[in-house]
Amino acid sequence: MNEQTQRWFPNSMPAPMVDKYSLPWWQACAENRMTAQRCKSCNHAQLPPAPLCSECRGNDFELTALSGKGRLYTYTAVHQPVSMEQTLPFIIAVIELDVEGTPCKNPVRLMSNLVECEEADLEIGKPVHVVWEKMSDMVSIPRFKFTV
Amino acid sequence: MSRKAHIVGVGETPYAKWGRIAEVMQGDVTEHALAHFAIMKAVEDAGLSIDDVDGLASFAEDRNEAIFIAAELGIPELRFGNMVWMPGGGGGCAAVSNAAMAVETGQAEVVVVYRALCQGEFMRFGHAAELMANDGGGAAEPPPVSFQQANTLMLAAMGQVMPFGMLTGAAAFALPFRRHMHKYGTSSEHLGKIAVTFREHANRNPRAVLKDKPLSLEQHQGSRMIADPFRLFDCCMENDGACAVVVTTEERARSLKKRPVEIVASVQGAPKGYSFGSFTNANIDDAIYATGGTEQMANRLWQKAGMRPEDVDVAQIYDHFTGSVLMQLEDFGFCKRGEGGDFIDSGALSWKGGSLPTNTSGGSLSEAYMHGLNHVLEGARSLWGESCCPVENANVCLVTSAAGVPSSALLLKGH
Ligand SMILES: [Zn+2]
Repeated sequence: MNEQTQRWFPNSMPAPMVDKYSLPWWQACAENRMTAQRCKSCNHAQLPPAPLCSECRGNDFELTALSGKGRLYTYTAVHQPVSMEQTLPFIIAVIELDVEGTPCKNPVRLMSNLVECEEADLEIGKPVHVVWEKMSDMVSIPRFKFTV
Repeated sequence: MSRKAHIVGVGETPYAKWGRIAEVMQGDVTEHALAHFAIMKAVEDAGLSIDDVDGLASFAEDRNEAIFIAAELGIPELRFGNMVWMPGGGGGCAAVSNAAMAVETGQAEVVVVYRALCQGEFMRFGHAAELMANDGGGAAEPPPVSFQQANTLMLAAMGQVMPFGMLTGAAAFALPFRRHMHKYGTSSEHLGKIAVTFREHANRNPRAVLKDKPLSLEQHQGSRMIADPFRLFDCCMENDGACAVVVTTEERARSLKKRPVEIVASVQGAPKGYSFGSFTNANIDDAIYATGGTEQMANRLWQKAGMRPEDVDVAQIYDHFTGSVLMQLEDFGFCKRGEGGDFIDSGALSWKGGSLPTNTSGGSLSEAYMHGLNHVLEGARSLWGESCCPVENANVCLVTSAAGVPSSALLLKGH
């Protein structure tokens, strides 16, 4: 089975709640593109998408393409279901994403999930890469796998 | 005469497991009726009457707005009504701080700080997912996944993390503590010792929901995992009840029943980019990530009070999760960063001979989860000699509110 069509979480997981600042980022996700908001004034890259640049308070952004590679920053294995028919435990992970060619004062980290890993394999600092879970025609959610 | 703010009375309802408040209150009670009960108890404890109260303060999205509570209680004139913006349990000490500012600036004379929480009547905090699930309200087939509109800043921030299952405090606060374990080698046993010590304190406290339930380290280690590394006994309870604290000026306090407890200094604080704390702040500075986020605020508290950690005789540290207690102890400088585990191992937190007797009522883990306002009550009691785990000659008490979210803290002093 192609990774693009694999499913790890049920449709009954909470849907993304978006505003005008985050919608473009989620729309890029729907095309399986990992991006960050890049400030046109100071070149700072940031997530989650916000109305203002955290470094210069500029408000003119573009979405800059990221490789979707990074490292596991921290995690928790959750043993209580968020929605029905969910496999337990599931892993909530903070991923530190690689950002090339942009001065980045703050890290670009993303709250996400690690999939297809045993709890025993969880180790902070290990390399990961994005995999996309197509929840519907409109919504794809970025999850991560350890890079072997 | 001084308008310096003092605590002069405290009171609470009986506390109960969520959904069981009727059993301890002899009848079905609403959340705001619990607020009335606690406020009247606290006012009585101070030797005052409701007719003396002219201010009300709360926090944590309290559903029981001051204007209605004032009307229902027949407060003659409400001159100050205030609710804190520091979220959830981060605001307890801040609400007391706001009451103190009100009396010190002359806006009000007697302000009651209250918190009523009925998780049986409303939502259980551990079950937030039930509200947010994309299940079509229980339809046989969930609807196709589509974007939902975030109409508030809170929903916009949470909307970015909920699709990954980030919905509970246990999961949120496990993230920084897991990194603390990675950096410093702290362990689940350290957490277990915190839970066991606070339970020992609660076992002496007739008000504690878990007063009759002893807890051993083995039971802690064998309890089911909630959000790794937090096991069941690392997590606070879900409770029903209310509690209240009366704040007035030193001048007024002199003529009242109890020895007033001085609010020496108070602070609120959130580091850069902290937003809704560990739920949403994955991008904060690495130096702050594996902490309670309260170090800057703690430094200001010591500075304002002209005190140091060594001056504290007893502490009431917000304990929604054991790991947050350990990281706050480091934030407030009771031990060095990364040495919280050793500090716990030394037995420091025990009321019996510990160097920093902590949560002498049992805290949120074992007395009751009242969003930490009960920690302020116990702080005053520990200085009045009214604690069930008395600390001899205790004169200075630190009280903190929730770490891992924008927070607040108080330094209290007996007379
Ligand atoms: Zn900028």
